[in-house]
Amino acid sequence: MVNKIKALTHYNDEELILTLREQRVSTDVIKYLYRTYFRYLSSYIKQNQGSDQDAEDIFQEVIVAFIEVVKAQKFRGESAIKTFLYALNRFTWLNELKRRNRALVRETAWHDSSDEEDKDVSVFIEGREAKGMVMAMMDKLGDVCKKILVAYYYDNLQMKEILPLIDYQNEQVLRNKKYKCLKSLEQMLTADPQLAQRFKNALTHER
Amino acid sequence: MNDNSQHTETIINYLSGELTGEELSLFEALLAADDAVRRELENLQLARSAVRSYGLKAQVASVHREMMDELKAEGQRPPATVYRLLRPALRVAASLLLILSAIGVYEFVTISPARLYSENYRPYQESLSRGEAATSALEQAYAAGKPAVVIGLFSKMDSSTNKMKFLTAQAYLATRQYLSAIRLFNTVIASPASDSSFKDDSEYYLGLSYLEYSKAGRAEPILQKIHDDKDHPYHDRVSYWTLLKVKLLALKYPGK
Repeated sequence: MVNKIKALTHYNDEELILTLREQRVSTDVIKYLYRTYFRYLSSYIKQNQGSDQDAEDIFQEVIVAFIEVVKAQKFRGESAIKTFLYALNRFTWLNELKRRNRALVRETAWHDSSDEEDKDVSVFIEGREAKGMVMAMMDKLGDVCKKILVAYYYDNLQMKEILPLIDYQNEQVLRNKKYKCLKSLEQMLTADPQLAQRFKNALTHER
Repeated sequence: MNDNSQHTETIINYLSGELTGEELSLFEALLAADDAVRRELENLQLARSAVRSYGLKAQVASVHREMMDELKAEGQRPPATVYRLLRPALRVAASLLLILSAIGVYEFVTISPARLYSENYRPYQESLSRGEAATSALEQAYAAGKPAVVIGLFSKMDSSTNKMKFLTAQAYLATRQYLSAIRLFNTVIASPASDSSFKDDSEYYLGLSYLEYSKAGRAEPILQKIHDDKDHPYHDRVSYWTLLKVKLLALKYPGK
């Protein structure tokens, strides 16, 4: 109820950071980020060769990256959230253009910019590709595994709360399945140690 | 499964905080003694982190469509969001009305760097009567409204005039690269006294750049100077009310 009220009000930067550090992020806070920053960030994408869809995709990615930076206690608050998001948005888009191999001369010039803000945020998107590959691994686990693991490790639901979501006979069967799902994911990660290390670095925002 | 899979279930239970008492002590002893168990724990922790990362991504994705629909609908009536944001602050303002005028309170509550910037920012209109006799490619690109080309040309130059720096700073402003704009405007202002061209222009736009970059505290002395100097070519653009709003912003966002 408190979060519902807050979503319709204004968070100052400090309140927003504290709220985002909670283990499961409130959906209303994500909505607040959309209401406050989507138009501002998407205009940059659209002014720099991006489509409406590009602007939406990059915004989603920026919000996820920003929340992870905050959760990892790496947002030092030296710049305003708006400024930080703008730099993250710009750098993510330039990285995407580079990935698509259609960056123009001017983007290259921007990418080599010596702006302090750019140097600050570059570390936060360096593991972008590795994160994408690990997210694809999750998809390979299948819907049931994803549902169980996310419900347990992200939504923090108890086994008895997850049981109605999955058509299993009892908690022990569910527990065994959770065990197998997490182990499968771990094995996929250990099968590619370089990717695992890059993903680990991306989570801790270390080079 | 790998060689140490006989411990996997215990490790997963440990990760879930389900080990207690003797079970926990035994496992911690095993962890301290067995590198393979420690490695497996680290790998499973990484897998758990992957799940959490996926969960967050999925949560944002689930909110996304709903928010796109809401934002597109609000695009038809933009004041709604602003009003919603301000409504509680306006309630607070009601108690301050005893000591402040309604206009003053409203300005204080609603003032924002972006709003003040957009109220005052007008793209610089290139005048061919100023600066070099011949029109350079950079000036032509600026006059044609191609800021990206201006920035590209400037980045390849070994030397440049105040005018080129100023126009490039304008191009950065137009593409919302405020830090780069601020840096170039400052370069023009700090140039030797022998070349005073575009210094006044740079001062005014530097003030605006700081405003949009949420640094009202830095914009204030610059705009105050322009307001106080009746001979300054931008004096008329910095009215008493503009300056008052800048001061309100500096008060509202101290330290910025």
